[in-house]
Amino acid sequence: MSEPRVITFREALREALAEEMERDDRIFLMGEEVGHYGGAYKVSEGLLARFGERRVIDTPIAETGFAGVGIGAAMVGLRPIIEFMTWNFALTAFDQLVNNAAKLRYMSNGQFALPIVFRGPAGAAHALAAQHSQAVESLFAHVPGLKVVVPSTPADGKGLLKSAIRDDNPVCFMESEVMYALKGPVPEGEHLVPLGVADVKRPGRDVTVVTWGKMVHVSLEAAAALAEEGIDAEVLDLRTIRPLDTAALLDSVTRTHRCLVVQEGWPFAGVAAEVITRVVTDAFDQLDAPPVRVTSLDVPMPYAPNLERLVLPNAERVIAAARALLGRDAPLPQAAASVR
Amino acid sequence: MPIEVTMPKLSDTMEEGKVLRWLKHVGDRVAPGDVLAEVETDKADMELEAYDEGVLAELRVEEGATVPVGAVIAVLAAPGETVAAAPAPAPAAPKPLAARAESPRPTLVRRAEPAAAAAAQRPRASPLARRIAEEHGVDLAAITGTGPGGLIVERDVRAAVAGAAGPAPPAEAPSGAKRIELGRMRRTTARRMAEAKRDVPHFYVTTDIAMEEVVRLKAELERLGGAWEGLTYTHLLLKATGLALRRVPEMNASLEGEGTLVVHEAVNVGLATAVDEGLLVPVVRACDTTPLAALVREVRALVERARSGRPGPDDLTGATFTLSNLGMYPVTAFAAVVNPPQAAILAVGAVREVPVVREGRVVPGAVMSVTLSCDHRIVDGALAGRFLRELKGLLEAPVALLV
Repeated sequence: MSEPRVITFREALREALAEEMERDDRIFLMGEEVGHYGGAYKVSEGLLARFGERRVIDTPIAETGFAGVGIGAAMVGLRPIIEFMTWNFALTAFDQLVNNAAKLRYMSNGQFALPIVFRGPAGAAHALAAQHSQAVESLFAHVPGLKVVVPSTPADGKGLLKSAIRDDNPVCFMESEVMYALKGPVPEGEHLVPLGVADVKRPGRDVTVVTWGKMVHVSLEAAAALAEEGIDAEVLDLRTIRPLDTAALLDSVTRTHRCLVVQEGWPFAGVAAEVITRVVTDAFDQLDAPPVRVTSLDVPMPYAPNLERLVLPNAERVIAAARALLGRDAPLPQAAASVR
Repeated sequence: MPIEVTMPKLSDTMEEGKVLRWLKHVGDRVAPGDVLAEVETDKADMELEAYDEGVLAELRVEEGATVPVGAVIAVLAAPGETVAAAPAPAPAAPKPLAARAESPRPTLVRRAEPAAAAAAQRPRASPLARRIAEEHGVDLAAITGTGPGGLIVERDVRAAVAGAAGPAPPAEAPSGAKRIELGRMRRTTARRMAEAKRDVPHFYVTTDIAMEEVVRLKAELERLGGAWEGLTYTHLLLKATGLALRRVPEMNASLEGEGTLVVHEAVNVGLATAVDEGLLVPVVRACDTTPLAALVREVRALVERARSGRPGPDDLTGATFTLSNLGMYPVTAFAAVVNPPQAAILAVGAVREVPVVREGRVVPGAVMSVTLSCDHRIVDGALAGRFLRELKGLLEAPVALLV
């Protein structure tokens, strides 16, 4: 078998879109600048020429409108992919996602399927300020009826996007502006990563670092540094926030007896809280230390780059938390100290 | 003179006791017979009575604390008498309460807040550390934590277990296995049986006893009803054992320390009894002299008290020999573990209908096998043989059991 090619995250996503659109002509891509401009982050570059204007559709700046059009199309048998220029803009369409996409299959007693993918970058990039730097997976994962996927590598990006497109439920697919240029090996052709299956990105014995999306890379950086001081951290990439792979989570914590959750978003009622609840409830007597989380600070994102760096989780904070969990120097952070 | 109240030995196997609840408080007047506290022993919850008169001057042990037998737990003073502050407690003793020597004003005396006291006493430990400590019977209070913020974590407990030269931690149970935390009684049984098998050189002597006469006697007595209602083989066995012990007193003995044999005057036979939480050994007193009908009555009350978890203060102490009867099960014969410091234990199987040879001919017979387990430090084979000869004679011609 030959080595897999190395391509960028952006190319991997484009490959997933193209392969799926080739496979199933009910699939179409719709959003701001996805056609003639090739996507704000060039994910859909070349797709207009390849699939034509019926299947690659530029929209006005009207998220509520095109999200709603997509939901209607999904109800009548098409399989839309809705690109948000960023997930921050999807908040305009929150009603469409929460009250329509998440509810209609349930409220129609299954008469309508909702095979729709909402995708785009989420989270902080660089100095995009308070309104454009938000990691919103916790907001959407809160809602029964929505699936939430946050990939961390080009290969997972391709495999998870293809699975999301084939899913008959609404899937929120959250990418990252700062990861589009990330390179990695990606299998050619049919490569599917199932939804709801976590992945051990780095095996370890001493502490389970549960994370997803770009925090996987922060955690891997921290794990490499921790290894030099004899702390063997396991990095568990959830990949899918909802459904959440509880079995993988408990399996890892049962081996390491310590749980650290690294989440880009805010602490209060976030995905980390859900992860920790499952660990505490279902693996209580496996725990050799209180589970802790490393998150953004509980503030709107400052515009100033130096302050932005202070707000976001980084390897230093992950390292400090892991040391504290193992009883080395630093005290454990108090959960309530991180929120108001 | 102030009078010290100590943790009493409330059962043969009790080595420490836990003060569950103080029923008298500093400043209270106490008369002999008043209940001072509720105490949890290894077998049961019991009431601790005052033996002396006085005013309760000091409580030296907080509720929930466990102290060794003999430790001073409270001090009584004569009315008006003042008591010096408690001396520094022995290392094994838990935190003493501050001495309260003010004049008796019961309504103004503040009791320790139980919740706060419990919280202050509970060592900070991870759930995993707690579970492992439980599994190995390790006291968390004796461990220094090295986890976050001084939390006692797995490695601390493992180190304590290793330091105590305990066995290696057990391999992970296969998945799907149910884990049941051992109760206090089961733990005591486990520890004492392990000690007995480790320290007592056992040997075993077995005989078969022809039971036709006992079977007939039991049936006839049952027909009489009245005092004989509820008569079982166990009652007949207790009586026969008591008489055999009277005839072979060296078997009614125990080893004291390394060098003293104590031959007991009283013939008190412990009866191994299954209860919900495990095994109890209520003691039937004077099995040699108590008439059989009285034994039936006493054993019934004794076993009922034991099974209800409320044994009397003397119910579980003072046995000089033990009887274990599995005859109600399809058990042919078995060998029991000696209950130290006793010299021996008798294990009894079921009465079986089997062919026997009598006067050169094979005839139907009723046979019971018994096995005597002996502590070879103080019992030799010939002594065991003599005891079994007496027991066999008493059961094969059981009229003596009625005398």
